[in-house]
Amino acid sequence: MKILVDNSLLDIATPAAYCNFQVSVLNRSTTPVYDAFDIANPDIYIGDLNNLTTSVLKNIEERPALRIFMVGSETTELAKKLKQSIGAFPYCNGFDFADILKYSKANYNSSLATDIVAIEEYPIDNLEKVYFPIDLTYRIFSNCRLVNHSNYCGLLIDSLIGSTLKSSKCSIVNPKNVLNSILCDCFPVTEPEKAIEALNTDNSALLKQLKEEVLNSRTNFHMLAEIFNQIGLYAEANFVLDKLKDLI
Amino acid sequence: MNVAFIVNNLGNSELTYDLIKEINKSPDISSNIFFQNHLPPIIIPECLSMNISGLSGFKGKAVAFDLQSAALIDETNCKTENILYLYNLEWLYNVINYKMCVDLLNKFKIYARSASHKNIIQNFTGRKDIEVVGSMKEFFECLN
Repeated sequence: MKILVDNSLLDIATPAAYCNFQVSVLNRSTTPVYDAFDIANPDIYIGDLNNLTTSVLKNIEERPALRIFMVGSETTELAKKLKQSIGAFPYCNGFDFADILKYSKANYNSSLATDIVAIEEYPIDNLEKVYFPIDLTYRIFSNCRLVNHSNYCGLLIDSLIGSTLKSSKCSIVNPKNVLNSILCDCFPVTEPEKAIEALNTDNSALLKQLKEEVLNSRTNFHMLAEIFNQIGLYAEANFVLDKLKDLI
Repeated sequence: MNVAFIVNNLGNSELTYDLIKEINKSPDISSNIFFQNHLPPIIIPECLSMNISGLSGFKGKAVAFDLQSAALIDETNCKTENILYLYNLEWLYNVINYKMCVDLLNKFKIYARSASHKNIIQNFTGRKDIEVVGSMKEFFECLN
């Protein structure tokens, strides 16, 4: 089974590769779209409707046997064109899942331990405005901008994000990263003002319950299985979920 | 006592002015200045002043004032007692790799310029052994 995935959806590509599917990534900045489709010769294309281009559209039209699944808003012009040319296609507006391959094996690291940590993979509102008592270790990391705050600590490489969350008591996260934080046993808040309250409350039972929910239904493996189900590949969907069980 | 001061250059800056002024007033410290870029010094130092390449054979205390100089001391692998007097908190103004920076800072005895700097460095590194020295004069007293 050959799968072509848009580079904005890498979180879906990783579990597919883990399950030994032949996965290629469509990266428009490094490879022309026609070349990417020709080299990958995919059976399934998982694409981002926000990155849909006329050349992607042409490639989809040229391959009637190609099964597609699209993510994003179907109200864009090109999305409507795609619907006109191939009919209704399975899609979802967006999804929220935990990246189990990246975060489930994170280890505690005392040098990364904090009371509150804010890791910006996507901008977090009001981060600059909130200060905490000086006796609390509060570190702000951002991979997308300079944060004008005395607790700003620079850039954190991808491989340390999990360990940092695992070693921290409370995290301030963008809504897109809430589930990843739960997976690392770090209580997430999406508004910086609520961090102190979360820190002073015993959330261990709630966190344990949320983690179970994430592991049972909200990982990127579940998302991939859902995609397979929607395009009619039920055996592959079950295979992905079996692989997840082995992983857990 | 042998002390090497590693700076980017000896040109016009608050740091080099304070440093050379204090070196010239402290004959009991055997000072050596190693610079990375040659610029006319703001004051003529009354001590050895040479290119950074001379650091390789140095023995004694090596003092850096910024992360770049600290990295140079670390990379030189000479037998020195490493000291970092942080003049600026560079991570607040530049995008730096946190882990690399913390690993580097952990190889140095750190002095901060003020209590607020100390708090920020403590939060950044998690270390509790940061000392505050308010001026270059006080810093030289600590070196003795």
